Amino acid sequence: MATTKCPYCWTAHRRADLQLSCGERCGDLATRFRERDLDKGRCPHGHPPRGRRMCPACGRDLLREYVDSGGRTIAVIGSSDSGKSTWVGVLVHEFQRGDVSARFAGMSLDLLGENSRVRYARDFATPLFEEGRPVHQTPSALRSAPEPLMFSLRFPRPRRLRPARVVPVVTVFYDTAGEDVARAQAMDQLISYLDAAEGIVMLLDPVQMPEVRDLVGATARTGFTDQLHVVNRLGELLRERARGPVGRRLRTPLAIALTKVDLLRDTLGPGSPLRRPSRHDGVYDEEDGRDVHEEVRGWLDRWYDPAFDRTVANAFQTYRYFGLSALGAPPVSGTRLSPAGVHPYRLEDPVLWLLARFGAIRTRGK
Amino acid sequence: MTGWRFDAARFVDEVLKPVQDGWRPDEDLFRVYLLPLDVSDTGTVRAALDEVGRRFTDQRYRGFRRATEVLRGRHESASGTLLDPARRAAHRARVEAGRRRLAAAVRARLGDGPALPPREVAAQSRALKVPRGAVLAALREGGGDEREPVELPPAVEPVQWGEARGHLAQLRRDSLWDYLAPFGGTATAERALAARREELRAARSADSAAETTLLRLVQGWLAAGDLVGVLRHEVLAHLADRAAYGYADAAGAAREVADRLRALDLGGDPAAVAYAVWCRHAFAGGAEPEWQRHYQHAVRDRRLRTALTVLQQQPSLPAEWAGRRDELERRLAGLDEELERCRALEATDVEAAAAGYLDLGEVLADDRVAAGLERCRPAPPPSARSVVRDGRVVVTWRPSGATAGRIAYRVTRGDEVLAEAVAAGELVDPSPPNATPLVYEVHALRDGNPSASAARTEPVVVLGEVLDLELRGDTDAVTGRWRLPAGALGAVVTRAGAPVAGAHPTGFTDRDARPGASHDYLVRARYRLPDGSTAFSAGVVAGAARQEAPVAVTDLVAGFDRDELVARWTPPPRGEVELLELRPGDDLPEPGVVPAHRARERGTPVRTTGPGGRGALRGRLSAPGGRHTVVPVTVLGDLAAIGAPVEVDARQGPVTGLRTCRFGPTVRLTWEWPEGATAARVVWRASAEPTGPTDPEASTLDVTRVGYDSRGVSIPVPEGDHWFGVCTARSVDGAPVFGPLVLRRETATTALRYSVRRAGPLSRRRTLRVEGGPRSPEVVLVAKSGVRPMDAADGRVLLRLAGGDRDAEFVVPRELPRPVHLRAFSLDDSVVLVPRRPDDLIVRKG
Repeated sequence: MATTKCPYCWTAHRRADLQLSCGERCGDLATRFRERDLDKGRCPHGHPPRGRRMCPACGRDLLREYVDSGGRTIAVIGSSDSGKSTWVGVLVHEFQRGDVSARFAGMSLDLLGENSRVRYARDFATPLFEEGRPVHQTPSALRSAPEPLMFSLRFPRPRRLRPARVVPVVTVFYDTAGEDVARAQAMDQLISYLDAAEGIVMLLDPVQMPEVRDLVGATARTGFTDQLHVVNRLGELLRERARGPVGRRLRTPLAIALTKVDLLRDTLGPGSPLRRPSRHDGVYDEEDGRDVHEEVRGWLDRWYDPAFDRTVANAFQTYRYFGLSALGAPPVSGTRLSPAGVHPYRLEDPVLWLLARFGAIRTRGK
Repeated sequence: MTGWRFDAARFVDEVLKPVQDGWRPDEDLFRVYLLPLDVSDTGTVRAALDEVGRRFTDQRYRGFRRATEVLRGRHESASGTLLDPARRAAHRARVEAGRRRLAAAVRARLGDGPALPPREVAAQSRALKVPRGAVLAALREGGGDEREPVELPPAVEPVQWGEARGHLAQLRRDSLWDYLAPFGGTATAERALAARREELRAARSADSAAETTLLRLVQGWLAAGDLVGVLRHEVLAHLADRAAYGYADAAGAAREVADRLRALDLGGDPAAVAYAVWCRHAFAGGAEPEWQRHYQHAVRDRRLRTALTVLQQQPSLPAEWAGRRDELERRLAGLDEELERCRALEATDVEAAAAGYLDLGEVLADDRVAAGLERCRPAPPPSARSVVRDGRVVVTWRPSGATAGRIAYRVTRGDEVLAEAVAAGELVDPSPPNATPLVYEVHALRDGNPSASAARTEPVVVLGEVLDLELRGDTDAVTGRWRLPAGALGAVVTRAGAPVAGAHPTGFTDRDARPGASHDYLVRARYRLPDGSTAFSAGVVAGAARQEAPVAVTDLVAGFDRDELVARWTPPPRGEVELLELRPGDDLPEPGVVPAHRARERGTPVRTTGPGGRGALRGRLSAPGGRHTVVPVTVLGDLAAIGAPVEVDARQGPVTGLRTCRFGPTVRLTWEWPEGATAARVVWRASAEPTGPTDPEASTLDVTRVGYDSRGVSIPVPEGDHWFGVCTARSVDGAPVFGPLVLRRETATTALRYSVRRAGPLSRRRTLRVEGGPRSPEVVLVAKSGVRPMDAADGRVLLRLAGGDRDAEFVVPRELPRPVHLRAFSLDDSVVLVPRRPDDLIVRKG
């Protein structure tokens, strides 16, 4: 039986258990009822119901495209100041009108629902691309409930002797507050969120690594989070609801992205794949991905902590390292981005890897 | 039996006497016939009518003949009224109304007092023409009574009491009683007063002077044995003052000073004293004899001789007043002796005589005192001198030797009095006449009485300067103007000691002054003195510069640096250059020299934002972006030269922050766009700088702002040095127009692929192969356990390929723990190696 996970409360429900509500013709008699209780497509009062389904647990509307396409949730975690919100904001821009849209011909990205559109325009597009300032820090789930950002990626899939079919992949991004990940705050919500995720993007902030901080001369903040601690926390959170033996490695694919690589240019050799453009042109290039994976793994071993990779490898069955820069250049101040604009680098690689694993895009060189 | 009885005494007092004095009996027939007002029994009325009627002819009352005749003549009508109940009732109503009026009158007279003295009761009886009993009845009905006040000392003001009150006020003392308390009050002794006067001898304040005089007065009263009398007068005067506000105030005040009353033997009952004082105040009108008031006024005015005459003219003075008269006679005799002494002193010691007269004048008003002071003139100042200072004359003098009285000085110039009474030794004549010898006289004044002669100054002559001098520098000359002071005939103007041509009495025009330089002019007023000679004032100096024509700027170069305007020009020899931003739509100003204020009206000054200097400016225009016209204006004094305007377009400014970043075979370019720019051209060329946006040897890429913001600019280039240039671009009338080209250099590398494969199916040997490119670089293959080598030195070198070699075989040593990661590095900086299959670089076994 097909199930749907509510993108708001992360509870799983059978499709037939999703709720419908009476239409306006029922007036004061209007009520809610399960989809399976439809009588020849009509509500208990014999009238056509409202079209939109609702989550039986939280009562929020579920978009049809999300329900029918089996929306996939991608969780984004990272320590505070690792750039999660910036990454999400620039990622949508890149898929809509940036370099990625040029490399994946025919692909489109549409934000789903008024909430997502308004929130993206207000919290991401306006500060980053119109006002040239960083996005605000994500509030803790203790202070306000996180709102998902839902969008539909549509890929044209050619078919032999028939017109190409458009395959939608509805993706739900949750932007967590770094402080919630680093500390034991808002646990239940975070666990539900991670448990529901079919892919996790974990952002590693090199500026919070002591050696790198000295290397690049970052002095802006004093409270830094050990990135290894974030991985350990992630494993703990996922095991809270995992089934099976505790020793079994977690199956959720984990994309570990080293951010702000524009600051690390001098630590990368001239032959580094992180000094070359991405090769994901219309497909996910597995050779390029492996090259970057090994490069980042080697870099972490040299500049951060050799234990990091072992910890990840022992906790996750499937993981891959990435290197990216969301802005392309560091902000000139805490309130102003580089006046040259936003020019990301390999920003999309983690999502392309996950999409390839979901089967939404093809993989080359596997 | 009616119970009615004839009362002979009442009949005389209440009937015969009033009728004899003119009272009309028909106003109250009940009173005439000695009947109660509420009588209703006709028998009683008849009995009274019969009995009283008989008395009208009784010979015992023949002394009241006029009254008895009147009563007899009205008896018949009276009988008719009293015997008729209706008429009697009407008459009773009228009588009752009359009695109510009486009660109101008596109450008004009593006020808030407890009683009326018998004399006042009698006076009211006479005045109201009612029997005394009626007054008393009305008085008691109003809560009062008839009472005789206690005896008080006569309210005679002691000699010099008014003066003593003044001194007490100066000392802020409420009463002499309080002042004398530390000295013993009524038992004050002469010794204590003398000791206090000794203490005050060194003091010079107004308070000490007042206290010294007060002590002298007290000593006088003490010597005359009248101190207690003075204190009694003080406390009774105090109660009298309060009695003016009513009996209640007087009674309250009496309770407050009960101790003083007992100490002064004025009675132990404060209420009784208060009643007596109140009676004296309320009912003593006309009681005090006229001569006493004349006496008091004379004493208050220090006319002691008049006061004595008043007392001497009274035929029978009471004993106390007789004693006062004798005392006054003795005192006047003493004052006369003092007058004579002062008169004698006039010949030998004028100041001592004047001091004596002044002392006498304080206690005695006498023509001889005034005449004596008139004769004792003060000495004049020993000397006086005058000095001309800033057009005014300062007169100074040494003080007069006179000491008695208030000494002041009167200063005169000719017949004009400059100051009537100056205390200081200096006076400034603010407006002396010019060109006239001036002599000043200074008289000493003693209380306004001038010295017989004056101190005179030597003559001085004032030569005033020209007035309201103004100089102005124009482009062709320096002009000046002024007003001549009174008496001046003209003026002389000099510059650097030489006379200025073109001067006239109230101005000059100097066309010979050198332009651009500052000049000092000396202007002196010219006078003719009484002796016919010519004299000049010291002169006034003023500076001015002849205006120089400013030089216009003709080579202004301006552009934008981000949103700031950066301008350069050749600085003119003199003057300040201002940049004006023309308002949109305004015509370009004609070059030329105009008044500075008119030039500034042509535009808005460019706001300076950074350090500039001569010939350079960094500033901000009124609105960022767009096209603007900037005009240089050279301001020199009041003139400005309008220079050649230039047009600046923010969209055509240079891009800033151009940065190149190499990503393998591509170069990413980023830059900051000028405000308002929407398009740019990217130009690149191998090995050489592009000559411009349209360099035919260079490659170009036109970029829009939208494309830049969406996808950025990445340019694939071959290996080697490349120059990249970026400039703004826009289309004007269909033709492309470019901004300044900003250049950067970047070196691109060549990427060659390499692979590692087993040499055979079961072989431990592996082959490294470098693919592509015209020539392979020198290569080193490094192995490392666990993780990928990050550079050529990060691991164990397994193989080296010489430049040009494409492949070679190698073996991964067994001793290296698996997995072993292999990686090839180019030793040529211009070539990078890219693995074909990264997984093949990991040796997990074998």
